[in-house]
Amino acid sequence: MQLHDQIQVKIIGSPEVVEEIRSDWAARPDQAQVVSSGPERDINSYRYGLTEIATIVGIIEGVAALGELGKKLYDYLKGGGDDARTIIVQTPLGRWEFVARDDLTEAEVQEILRKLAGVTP
Amino acid sequence: MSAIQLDYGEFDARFLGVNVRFHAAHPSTWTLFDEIGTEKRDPQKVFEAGRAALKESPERAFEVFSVGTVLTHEVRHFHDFILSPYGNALFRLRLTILLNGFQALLPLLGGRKTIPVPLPAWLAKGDAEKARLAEQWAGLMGGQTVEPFDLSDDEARLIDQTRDTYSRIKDFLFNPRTVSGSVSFQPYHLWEASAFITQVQNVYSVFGTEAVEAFTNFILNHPAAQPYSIVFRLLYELWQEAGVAFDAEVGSAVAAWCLLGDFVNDGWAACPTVRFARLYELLRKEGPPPRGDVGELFRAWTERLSYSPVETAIERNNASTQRFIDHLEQNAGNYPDFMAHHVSHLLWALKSLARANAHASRLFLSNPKGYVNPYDYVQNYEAWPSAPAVATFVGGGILIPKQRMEALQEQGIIIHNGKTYGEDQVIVFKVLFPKNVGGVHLIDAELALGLSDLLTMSDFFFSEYYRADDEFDLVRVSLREAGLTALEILT
Repeated sequence: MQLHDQIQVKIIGSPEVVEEIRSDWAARPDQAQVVSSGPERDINSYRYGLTEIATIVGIIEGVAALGELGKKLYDYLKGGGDDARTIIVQTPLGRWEFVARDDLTEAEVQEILRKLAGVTP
Repeated sequence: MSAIQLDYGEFDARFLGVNVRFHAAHPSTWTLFDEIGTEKRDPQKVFEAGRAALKESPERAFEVFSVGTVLTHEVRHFHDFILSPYGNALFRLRLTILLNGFQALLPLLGGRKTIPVPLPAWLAKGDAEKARLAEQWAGLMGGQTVEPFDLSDDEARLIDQTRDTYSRIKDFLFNPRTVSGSVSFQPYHLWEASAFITQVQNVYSVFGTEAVEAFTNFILNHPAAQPYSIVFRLLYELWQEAGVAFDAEVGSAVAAWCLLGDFVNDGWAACPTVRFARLYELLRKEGPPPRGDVGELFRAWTERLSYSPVETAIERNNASTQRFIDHLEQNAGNYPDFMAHHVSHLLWALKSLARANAHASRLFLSNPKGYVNPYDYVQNYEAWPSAPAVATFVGGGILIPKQRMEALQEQGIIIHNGKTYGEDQVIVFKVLFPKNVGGVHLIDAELALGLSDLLTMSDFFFSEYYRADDEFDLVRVSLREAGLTALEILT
């Protein structure tokens, strides 16, 4: 497996999930650094069924921290019983729109994240 | 958890037509659309599907009513777009970006393996930041070196122009003066109101009274449906306060009048949200007007609120499109040779827009009631310009057996984006329907789709807004197939 040290990630989602990720990253500065975070006023946000959205950009250090993020995204998508829950993850190599109703397994979420991060088997 | 799709269409300003969307997670919605959403449907079977859905659950009923009427909703967006000076101005700005941006972009693409996107964001970075990004990207590329990326002054100037033009588009789409705290009221809310009122009429015509109640209740009460309901709710309250039943013709006239502002003469006061705020204040004070001559109603609102007449707005808009056409016809030879194909494609697009706008304007000005009365509009669908139609499968495409694909192709459906999966399956991302939806054929569907691909590519390389666009996935894939990796600048 090839692995690089730093992966830049942008996450777009509800203010609640973005705040959760921000706190999580702030508590583990050796694994992730917050570059910026705040409300998003993208006029297209309504396409995702989100009435209010926020974004966070961070730098993730290594595959373990990426796995932590995958677990957090999976837990968020599964929690709350809301099938419209949506999170968009962007990296320099692409983007993915995670929607709760797609019913992905944690392994599938992790696999997508690794592809977006350029981690190749 | 319920398992329905919440949005079934999207007006994409890059495509001169309509776009229905299906999520990969819900392949059954596409099957449902094929049964009840297209022009080939059997009205009795559609009605029965509605009755059965009403008995099943509110979610299922919403899905069936939405899928059965989504084309009407999307076609109304299309007609509002080609008729309104607002929609036309947005389209011309997008073509301007393509014209300027591609002159810089196309020479840059040859022989490269990596390219930063969006390009204006790259240009705005200082040397230290560019070096830091290149180092980070090299890590992502498995240690492969990211080539230096330098631009000539001319290329940089052209790319800078795209940035200015996107900023103008943003001014059209987003009005910062109509934002208060977390509540943002924007022009697209008026677009949605216009399409929603029309769709409700269609739900009534296709599925009956009970269906209208279930459909509107679902939209009015679902938090994620706010874009569709915000203006409708405000209008509904006006009539409620006056103690009379909501009049869909006058409600629709409000939405149409707001979309028909004259930006040349009235500047940003022509913004649909500003027009709505002023008109709403007037109607709150005086109560909703009774149904009457729509042209007179428009003239009264225009005079009371000191705006340019709708007729003048339409005339000036037409002149702006004609000026763009004249410019391209007179200067086609001055563009680099590699732009020749794109210039002729742009000329086709502008002439198609001008034709469709002229046709729609004539109909509208001769009988505005025929456009704003939802019943008249839906009944006379065939009189308006027909819309090329595509279906997009978001969330990774839809997986279908090759046999089904062949059956679709036999119906004349063109698989625009798709790829083989295994031995006997295909992943389909986008299909083009065999014939336009609605009446008078003025726009060639395949050329419209080709232009939409170019405009998506233009957005991918130059737009700093809405970088999470799912259509960009297809651009990334096609670039990768050509050996070019686009590297997204995230901050």
